[in-house]
Amino acid sequence: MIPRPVPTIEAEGLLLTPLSDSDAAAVVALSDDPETRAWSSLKTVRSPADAEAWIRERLARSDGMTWAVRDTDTGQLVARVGLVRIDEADRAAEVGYSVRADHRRNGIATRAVRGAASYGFAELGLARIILQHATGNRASCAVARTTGFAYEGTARALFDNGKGVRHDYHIHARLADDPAGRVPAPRAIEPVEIGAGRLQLVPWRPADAPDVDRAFVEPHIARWDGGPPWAGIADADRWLAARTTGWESGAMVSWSVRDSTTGRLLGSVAIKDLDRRPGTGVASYWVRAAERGHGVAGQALGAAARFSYAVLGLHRIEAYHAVANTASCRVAVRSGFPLEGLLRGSLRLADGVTDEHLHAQLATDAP
Amino acid sequence: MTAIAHEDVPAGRWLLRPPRPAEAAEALAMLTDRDVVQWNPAPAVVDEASARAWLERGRDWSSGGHATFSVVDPVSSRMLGNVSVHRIDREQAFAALGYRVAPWARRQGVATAALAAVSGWSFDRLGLARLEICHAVDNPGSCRVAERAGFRLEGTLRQSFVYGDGHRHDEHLHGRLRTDPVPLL
Repeated sequence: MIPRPVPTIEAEGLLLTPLSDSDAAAVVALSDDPETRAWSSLKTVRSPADAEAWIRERLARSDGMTWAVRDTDTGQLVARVGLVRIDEADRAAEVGYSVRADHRRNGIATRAVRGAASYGFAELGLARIILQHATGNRASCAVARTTGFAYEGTARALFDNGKGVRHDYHIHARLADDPAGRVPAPRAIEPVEIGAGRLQLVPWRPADAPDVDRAFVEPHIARWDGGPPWAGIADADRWLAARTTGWESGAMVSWSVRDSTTGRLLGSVAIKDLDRRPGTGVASYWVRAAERGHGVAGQALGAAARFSYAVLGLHRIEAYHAVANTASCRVAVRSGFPLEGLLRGSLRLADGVTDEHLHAQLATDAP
Repeated sequence: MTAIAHEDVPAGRWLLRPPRPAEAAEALAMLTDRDVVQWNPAPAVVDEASARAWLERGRDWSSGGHATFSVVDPVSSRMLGNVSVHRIDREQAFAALGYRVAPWARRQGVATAALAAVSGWSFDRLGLARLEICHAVDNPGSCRVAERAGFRLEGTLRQSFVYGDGHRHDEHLHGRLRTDPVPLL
């Protein structure tokens, strides 16, 4: 049984207490932040009346527990934390939280999540608690890892944030017998810059979204991208979040390819689908229209491949391209990725299904 | 939630239709199969009467929370399996899928065809944007079916569900978006 009202818990200098109607003004302050509005159930709260409705809704939920998180010394409400979607039969729940914008970077989320999770395991007998966050929300990812919630995967387009945009979410989970401390990201790869003559390979940053958006509307890049039609800057954010996730999960290493003197964006190179046991990966690259014809793709591919052999221990890198994409074919062959085969009807593009060339390079081939 | 109207959905050589009480004997045989008991248990079903009640529950789409189909051979009318769209959330345009194949209908592509058909129906008729399938990692057959039906592997959930043996098993999470390419079957 879920106790009502929720019990008061001490959590490393914080007090987790029941919410009450007198917290309405503090809940308005909690919701008064674009991040909180974008990602949490507090998005509807603008006025004290909204806050009272939100508090009543929380208190009435039969499958959830919400705590006001207070500073032990001042008693001030600085955050909220909750166990929601508690499934007593399945012994599972989800933890969620929001921290007041002016109280962030004090470890409040970490302590509150740890307190709520410990309560869930010890008092409710839960076997598994999940923590989900939009992939762009790096702060929540850090909270999850610090509080013992291991990364398990990325659910694509899981939730609509209310503005008609669906966001990818990381799924983290902690099991009853997992340690409460920091979870190492066992397969994570540290993002590194690589200098390659006049080129500089720089791990993508969120601020690159406008550049990515401009590149993906260039016809030769859009045409060979097997994904859905490019829908603008939100797709750029999502594309970049996937690059970040790639380093974190160890599934992909990716770089923007820049002029080493001016920093101008020339193109993109990645080794994706990394599988460290057999030691394989798949190369992917594009070059902006104005920068083509100068060997940029080949040099970037060579540098990314050398990194993958030397640092990641790969022994084989494949490259696939639509047969009609002859520029990509030339890049692969000139970079030491000989043609190995023709894959019939293996790629669906906007204008239909097409055959692909398979090229590959072995570590022992590389110059 | 709004009720969902009954509908038949073609699935390649087979047909998806709302379950019928007359399928009780076949449903009982399917639900007491060893593999189904382990990986997709319906523990309430122990005889034809409880099988009939299970079919009635599957046939009742009035809550709007699920749409459950029997997979049948349209010629013989024999039941070959079932497929369910459940946890339907119209606001978040989300649902989960589950399926079973009767032991007499395995290795013919029934599950893949049923999943692909019910996915298209869910995107088109329910307006959903994301569909999920979870299956035990120890049940690799389900993984191949999900991949073939266009559901990409998105993660491995640790000890996330109690299966028929009473143990918590790791599960694969697969997702398919409305915007994902339609699988070539």
